[in-house]
Amino acid sequence: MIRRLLVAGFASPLLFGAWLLTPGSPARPQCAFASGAHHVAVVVEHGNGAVLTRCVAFDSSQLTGEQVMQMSGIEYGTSSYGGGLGKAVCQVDGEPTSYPPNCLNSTSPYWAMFVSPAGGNWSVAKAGISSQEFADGDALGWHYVPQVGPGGGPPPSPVGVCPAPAGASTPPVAAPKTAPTSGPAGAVGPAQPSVGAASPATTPATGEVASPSPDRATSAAPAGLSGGSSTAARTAPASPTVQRSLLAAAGGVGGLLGLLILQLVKPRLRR
Amino acid sequence: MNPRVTAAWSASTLACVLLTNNPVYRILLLLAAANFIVAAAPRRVRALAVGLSVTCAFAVVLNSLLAHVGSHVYAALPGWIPLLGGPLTVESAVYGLDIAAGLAGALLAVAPLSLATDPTELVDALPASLERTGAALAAALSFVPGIGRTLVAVSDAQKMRGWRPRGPRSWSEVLVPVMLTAIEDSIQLAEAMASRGYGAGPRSHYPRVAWSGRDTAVVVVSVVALAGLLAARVSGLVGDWYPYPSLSFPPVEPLAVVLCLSLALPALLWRSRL
Repeated sequence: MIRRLLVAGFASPLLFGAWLLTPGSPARPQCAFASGAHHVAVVVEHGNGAVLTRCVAFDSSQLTGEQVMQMSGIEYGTSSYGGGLGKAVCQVDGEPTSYPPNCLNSTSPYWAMFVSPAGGNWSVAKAGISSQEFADGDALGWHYVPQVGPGGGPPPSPVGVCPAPAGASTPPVAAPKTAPTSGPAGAVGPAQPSVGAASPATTPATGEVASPSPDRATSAAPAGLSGGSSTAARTAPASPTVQRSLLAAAGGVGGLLGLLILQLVKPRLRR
Repeated sequence: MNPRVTAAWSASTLACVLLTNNPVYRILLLLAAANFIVAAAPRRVRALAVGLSVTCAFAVVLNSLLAHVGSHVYAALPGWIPLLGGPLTVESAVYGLDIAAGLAGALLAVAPLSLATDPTELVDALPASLERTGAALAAALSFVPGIGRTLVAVSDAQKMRGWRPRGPRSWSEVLVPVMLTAIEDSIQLAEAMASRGYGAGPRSHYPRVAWSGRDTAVVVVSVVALAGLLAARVSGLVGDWYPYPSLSFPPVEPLAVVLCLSLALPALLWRSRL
């Protein structure tokens, strides 16, 4: 009897934990700092393909990338380049375990920062983490990529990481794979870096951690000439605004090129 | 075309080219400027095109050889070659093309000032407070090719008298006559200018180039395009683009595209006139 009680005592927390981490569980928390009205998704893809996602909720209109990372509870380390260059992120979720003061050497991989504005495709960030601003519905992506060679694309799509805004239709794409496994994205951050590191004392137990998934085998492959958005393009169609922009640009270039050719050819035809 | 309008358009286009390194906008501005040059100075395009091609090719090759970063490696140079050794990537070549587009755009933006405008028109176009300074500067600059011609003539004359270049000291036999000739020419020019009343009072002009509605339209468009792109840049709507770590299509804003296209207006307005 005592033995059965002991087994039940050990098993019940494990079962409860598994139930919490099962996708679709009604009581499964979605967000770090879940009390906010706005959300920013954070997607981290390690060099080995392990993916870590977080949803950060907040009430203010905007957050800087640094605030998003702090609120996500994901460990990260920065190095300041000074002036308008801002801070560079040298370490995320314990990868790499150490780094030089100026972040990287000539051969080491590095953390590429991606931004997905309002659910759009991933694009390379225009500013450093301390300057880049995020609003409701945006996503912050990290991918540990080599300086040379394949694997430089964006992280997996942020679709599904955060709950859809009220009144918005649910995206037709499933959330990233989740599994209660450990990996480089451990629950507790590793030692703090020496430069400008910021990490909460505890990591919220609300994040989703995924081990290398079969999906990422294709995502980590060399991207095509439009590789910057290839992963996101598979999961979310390009927005009409982007298509209109491309059409406008293509039309403009074509028109000016046509006018130029006409001007160059017309005098010769007259002769 | 009024030289002041050309100057305003050139300044606006140059500033727009330098505002962002997004290749889409740079290519649009480059094509707008190329259209204007072809319309304004069709016979002087060939030499400019050759010079620009060489400059652009140099930029692409240089960036490809020096920037060994990117996902798509197409070749590699041995690592023992200093600076140049390492993988060659598509990304660095594309960024070299972006730099080349910026260089070509900047050169084409200012080219109408020398190819489509007479130097005297430019001096005339200066504000009254800068007229004398401009005239003196133009006279000084016009001496540069004259000094070059004098240098060649004096060298040839000295060679015929048995002179051969033998180290720095031997060049004094050429440079001293060149210097004396230049001083003599400058005195002659000063006397000629004084005899024509330079500095004696308000400057007289040939009939100025008339200001038309087309000129107003081009100036307005130039100002609006620059202000719009500047505002878009400050607000973050238009930003920089980098192909690293993996090549991606640059973000494009329709408003910025329209502003860039508007700078092609002079080519449309003056296509038949110039």
